[in-house]
Amino acid sequence: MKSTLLNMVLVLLGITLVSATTLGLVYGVTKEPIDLSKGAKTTNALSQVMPPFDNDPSTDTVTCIIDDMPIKVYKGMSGETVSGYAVETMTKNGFSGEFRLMVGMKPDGEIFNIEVLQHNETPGLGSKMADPDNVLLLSFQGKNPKNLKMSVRKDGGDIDVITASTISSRAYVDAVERAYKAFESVALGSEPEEDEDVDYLAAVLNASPTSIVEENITIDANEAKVIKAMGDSTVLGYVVDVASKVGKGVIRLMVGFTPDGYISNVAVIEHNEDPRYGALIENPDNATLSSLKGTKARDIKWSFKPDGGTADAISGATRTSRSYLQSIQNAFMFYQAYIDSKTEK
Amino acid sequence: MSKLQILTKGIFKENPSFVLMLGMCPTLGTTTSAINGMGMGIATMFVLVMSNIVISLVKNLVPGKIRIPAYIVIIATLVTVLQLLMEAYVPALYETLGVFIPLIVVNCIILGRAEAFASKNNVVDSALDGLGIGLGFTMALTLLGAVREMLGAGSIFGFKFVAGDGILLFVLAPGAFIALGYLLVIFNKLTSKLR
Repeated sequence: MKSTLLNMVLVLLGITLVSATTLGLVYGVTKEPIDLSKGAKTTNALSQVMPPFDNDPSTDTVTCIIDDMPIKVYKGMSGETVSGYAVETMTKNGFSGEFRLMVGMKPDGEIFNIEVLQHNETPGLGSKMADPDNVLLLSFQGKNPKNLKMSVRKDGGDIDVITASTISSRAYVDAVERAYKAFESVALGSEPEEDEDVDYLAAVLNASPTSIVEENITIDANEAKVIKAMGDSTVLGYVVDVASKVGKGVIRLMVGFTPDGYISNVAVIEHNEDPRYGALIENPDNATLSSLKGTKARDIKWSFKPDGGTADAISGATRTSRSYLQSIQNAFMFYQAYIDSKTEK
Repeated sequence: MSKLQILTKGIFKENPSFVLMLGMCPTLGTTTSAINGMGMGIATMFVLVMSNIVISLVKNLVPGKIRIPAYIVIIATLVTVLQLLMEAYVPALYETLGVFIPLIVVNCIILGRAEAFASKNNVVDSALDGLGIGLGFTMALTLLGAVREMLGAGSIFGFKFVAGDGILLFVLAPGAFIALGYLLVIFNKLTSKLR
C-alpha cells in the first residue's frame, strides 16, 4: 500500500484506538481478580505472621515513611486487646534490587514470624530467605529487636546469614530493622496517650481506681464509653467518655459521677472552640463546672440561671458555656442509660 | 510449503533459540528452572500466535512506511493483555517471570516473524508459523531450564532428586551461557541431518 500522510495518520489512529479499547476492556475484566489475588496474599501473610486475631487488620493500618520508603503497620485485635502488629516493610539493598517482607510482632515488639511478600533474589541462594525455618528467620523468631544487635554476625551482630548470600541477608536485616522502627513509632509511640486517659480518669473521680470495667453505650447512633471504676471491692464511681457535636464543633469530655449519682468532676479532653473561650472551659474552676460540681445529676435543670436552670455561665463566653453545658448533659444521658440498663437486670 | 512443514520448521529447522539465535535475553534470563522456562515459552507463544494472526489480517491496510510502529503497537497491546491476564489468573507465575513479561514486546522473534512471515502470508499459515516458532521457543526454554535446574538445584519441575544444593553456578547467569552453549552443540549435531 502506498504511504500518504493521510492514510498513515488514519491507520495509526485506528490501530491505537482499537488497542486502547481492547486494553480498557481487559483491564475492566481483570481488575477484580487482580485485586482479589493481591488482597488474598496480604491476608494470608497477615495470618501467618501475627499471633491469632479476630478483626480485619487491613482496615486498621498506619503508614509511616521511613528512609523515604512507605512502611505500613497493621494492627491485630483479639476482642478489645491488641494481639499484635504486622509491618509491611521493604529494603532497596537486595542482591537484585528491592524486596518486601511482612514482619509480625507481639504487642511488646517480640518478633512472631516473618514472611517474604515479594523478591527477585537469586533462585537457590538469596531466595532461601523465603523458605520456612531458614537461619535468618530463626535468628529473629521469638526475639525482641530491642535486645538484638541488628546486623549479621560477619558485621558483629546477632543475626546468622544464609550461606553464600550475605548481601541478601544484610538486606533482610535492614528491612526488619525498618519494620521495628515503624512498629516503635506506631505501637509504642501511642502509649503515652493511653496513660493520659488514666490520669484524666483519676482526676474526674478524685480517686485512683485499681481496676476498671468499660462498656460502650449507644443512643440514637451516638456512642460513648462508660467506665466503671473500682477500688479494692467498692465502686468508686462512673466516668462517661463522650464526644458531643455541639455548636460549631465537637467537645470531648470525661465526666465523673459518684456511685450515688453526683457529678464529681469534668475534664475537657478535646474541643475546637475558639482558643480564648476554650481555655475558659479547660479551667478546672470555671463557673459552669463549679455550679454543677457536687450536685445530684438527676436534679440538674440543664440551662443557665437566668433561664431558670441550675448552671452558671462563664462570663464573656456564653455560647461556649452553652456548648459545654450541653456536652455535660449529653454525658449525663449516657450515664443514665447505663445505670438504667444495670438496674433493669 | 505444506502446512505441516510450516508448523515443524519452527521447532527444528528454524528453532528460534538453537538455530536462529533470536530472543536470547529471555532465554538466558528466565530459565532458572524448567517451569519458569516453560511459562516464559508459553507466554511468548501466545503473543506470537496472536500477533501473527492480527498482523496478517491488517497487512493490506497498513501503509509500508509505518508498518513497524503499527506492528509494535499491536504487539505491545497483546503483551499488556497477556500481562493483565497472567496477573489475574496465574499470579505466582506472573511474579516469578516478573520483568520479562513486558519485555516480550521487544523480543525480536515476534517482530521478526511479523515482518518476515505474517506480513506476506495468509492468516492460517501465519497462525501455524507463530505456533511452530512458539513451540520451538517453549521447547528450547524448557530444555535449558530443566538442565540448569537439574545441575543447579538437583531437582526437575520442582521435584528434588538429589539432596543438597547442586552446582549453584548453573542457577546463576554464567551457568545459563554454559548450558546454552552445550545444548546448541547437541541440538545442531542431532538435527544436522534434517537440514
